[in-house]
Amino acid sequence: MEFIDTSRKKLELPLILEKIKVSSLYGREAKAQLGFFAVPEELEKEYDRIDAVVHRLEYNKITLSRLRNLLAGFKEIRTTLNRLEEGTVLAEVELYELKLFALGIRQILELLETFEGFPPDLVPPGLSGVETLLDPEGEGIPTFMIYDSYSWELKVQRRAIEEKTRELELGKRALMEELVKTYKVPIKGWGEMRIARSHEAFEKIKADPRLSYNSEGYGLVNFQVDLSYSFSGLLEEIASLKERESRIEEAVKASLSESLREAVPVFREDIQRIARLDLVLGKASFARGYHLTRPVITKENEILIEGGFNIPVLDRLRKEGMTYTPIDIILKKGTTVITGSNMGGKTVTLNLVGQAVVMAHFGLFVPAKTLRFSLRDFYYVSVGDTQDMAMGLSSFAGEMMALAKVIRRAGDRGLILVDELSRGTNPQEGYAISRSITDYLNQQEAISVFTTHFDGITPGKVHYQVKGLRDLDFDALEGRESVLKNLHQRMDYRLEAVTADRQVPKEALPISRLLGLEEEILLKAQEYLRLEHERRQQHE
Amino acid sequence: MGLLESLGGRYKTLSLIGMVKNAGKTTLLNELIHEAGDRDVLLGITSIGFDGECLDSVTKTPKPRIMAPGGTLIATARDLVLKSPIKIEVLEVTGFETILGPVVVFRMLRAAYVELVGPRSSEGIREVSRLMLKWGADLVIVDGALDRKSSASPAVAEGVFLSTGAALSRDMGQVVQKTLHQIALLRLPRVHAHEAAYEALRKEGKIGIIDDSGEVCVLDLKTGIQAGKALRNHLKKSSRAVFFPGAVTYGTLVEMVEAGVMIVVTDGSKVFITREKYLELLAKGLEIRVVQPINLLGLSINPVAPKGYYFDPKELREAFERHLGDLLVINVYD
Repeated sequence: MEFIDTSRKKLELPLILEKIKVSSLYGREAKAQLGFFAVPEELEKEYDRIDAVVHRLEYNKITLSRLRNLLAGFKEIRTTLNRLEEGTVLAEVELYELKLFALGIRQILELLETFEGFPPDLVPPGLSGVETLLDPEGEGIPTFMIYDSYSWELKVQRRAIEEKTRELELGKRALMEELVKTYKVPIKGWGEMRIARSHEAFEKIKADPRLSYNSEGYGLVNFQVDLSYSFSGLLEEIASLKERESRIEEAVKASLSESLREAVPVFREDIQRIARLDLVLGKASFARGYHLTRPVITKENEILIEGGFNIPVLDRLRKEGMTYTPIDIILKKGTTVITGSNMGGKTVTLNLVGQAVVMAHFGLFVPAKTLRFSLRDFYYVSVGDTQDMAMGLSSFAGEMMALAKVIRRAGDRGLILVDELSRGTNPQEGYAISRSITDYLNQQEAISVFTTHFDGITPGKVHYQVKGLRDLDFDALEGRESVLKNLHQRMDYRLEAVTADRQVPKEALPISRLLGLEEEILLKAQEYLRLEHERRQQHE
Repeated sequence: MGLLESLGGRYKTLSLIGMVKNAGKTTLLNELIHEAGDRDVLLGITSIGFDGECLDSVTKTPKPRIMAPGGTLIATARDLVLKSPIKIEVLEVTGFETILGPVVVFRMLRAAYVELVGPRSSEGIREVSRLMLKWGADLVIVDGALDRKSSASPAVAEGVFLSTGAALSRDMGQVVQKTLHQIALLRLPRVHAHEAAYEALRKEGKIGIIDDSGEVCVLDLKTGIQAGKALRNHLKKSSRAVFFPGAVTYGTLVEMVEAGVMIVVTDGSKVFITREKYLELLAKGLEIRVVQPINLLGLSINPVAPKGYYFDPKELREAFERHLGDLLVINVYD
């Protein structure tokens, strides 16, 4: 399953996929990897999930937005998980991240519990053991520290440090008061004394072991209260208590990391489920927003679309306050041709077929009342200008090169969509090539759809024609304001199955007139058309 | 010194900025921390990015460090606490990245030295300030990076302390003049007409011309720097003022003065001009206003320069007090 050449871009798929909103960084990754499902069974399962979520969220917008907020809160923890697996002892910040993740998972689970029968493969397995491990005092607060309760000995050390520190602080204050009293020089709260060299007490202060030289500006010297002289015993005691405390903390972190290491597979499974949940929520909301429906997978080599619409075009028309005409079409193996007026939406229809089938194959609901399709082996889309500037090819050469590639694969069940076949060359040869290509592909397994202005390139076969402006009185339209909009509104975009001998509608001249091409030129064109007609009749 | 007392609990966020390295900003911060401890004010501390120069070439860690008492809330880069022995309770890991990992908000469980590397953007500073206040801080102090005047912006904090000192010049008169010039810019007055129009332009980050009737013409010129010439072509007789969302320099200002329009900027930290040029433009009729005035709360002075010279502390202080009147002037070593 693959796109041939730049077909993915041609279908305006990015425009469609950006409508799938995901909230978490994991969901964003899953969305970026969105692609073809390999087997129908997996696709059906994905449709089931979307179906289930669409129905459960239909009347529960608040829960949906809460779910999304929770999803948005998940941080990247995979680096930390990797470090765990490498045997690293985690630091407080990393332990905090894992705790926060576990708390987030619990909140997700609590929310999902309110839905009965939520798709089980979207529900994370949960990390209650981790939560207990990282919240030993059961506070339920999203913060983390090395808690006293991890070790009785740790608690003892900490109390002792507190006590000794308080003792030191009191001693320091008393010492500072004494120094101020002795030298009549103020000391900053943080123990800094600043005096001039010329000060009468300078030499004494310099010699006082309770003050140590710190820094010096011109004439001004900074001394710092030095606790090591008066409190060396206390300081040593505190230092050794702290060292012991650190050793215990290290041991605690090591044992926490050890336990967490065992939970790494569960963390990873949670990440996967979150990603999937997030993406399915996005798909379901998208489906609801655009009234997308569940596709039907068939084994038959066919594509059936009823009431199909092209999403980017629908958006553009809505913005201009216009409505969209849904399209019905049935495609079987071999070639189908669409003819019709300029501006009649042939290209739009071609794109719609590609978009709907690819969306279905990507595990999305589709823009149609009904879509029945079978999984395609490849997709080839040629819409717009295929000119490959980078390769220096003309549009005709580009098209032929791509078609050569496609024709080699036409024995597979692919989908080939080509807009205005051979448009880049002269009409006579273009017609000949178009006809031989469609002849060939008509015998193949691939489903091919071509739009063309050429008459009779698939004689004897049913083809589709855009109804277009056939029933319109052109004279009545002329001179009206906003001709373009008017034309859009009068255009009948529906497809009609017609027999092959029905000629391609000749509406290019009336449309050009409506769009304001000079009358003089149009009259000349009409004259040439008549001459060409006569010439042909003489030949026959 | 009673710095905190002078604030009277009116502000939730303060930023400290320095005119020059060694202006005594860190001393001021230490003083504030100490006072807060005495008055039971729980502080939250962060910095706006950090100065590249402060990176110790050997350890690749920023300096100087500050001594934060137990209980203090800190927002700094993750890697600075990952392997440090300080005892913390982790409160949040934010999405603001630094070269030393994301900014983490934590509570100091015990007094210790910490190194500050906070968010670089004013949005980041606002957010970590909000988080620290949420976790119980009474007051957040933002250590503004050296030579980063944007740290003074009201977008960063409600009030600003400016530090200056002998390190700025060997000539005390120069120190006073340069500092007063900076203060004049920081205290540029608020614009009093068509405020809503300016506010809209500020939010959109667009340059705009406003005419007598308050009509706004939004321009698609990207920056104020060097935009002066191009802008003049858009000015009409009725043009009254031009708003610049970003920084403006002499080149732009002189064009506007010659065109006879008022200049409106987001706040005083966005104006970059020397004292001499500023005086020259004032003589030519420069009118400059701001959308968001900066709330300058005080000036700290350091009479000693690290190079070894110093000024008479009393003289320096009085020189400022003569010019600044009501503004609080403090000598960090008094």
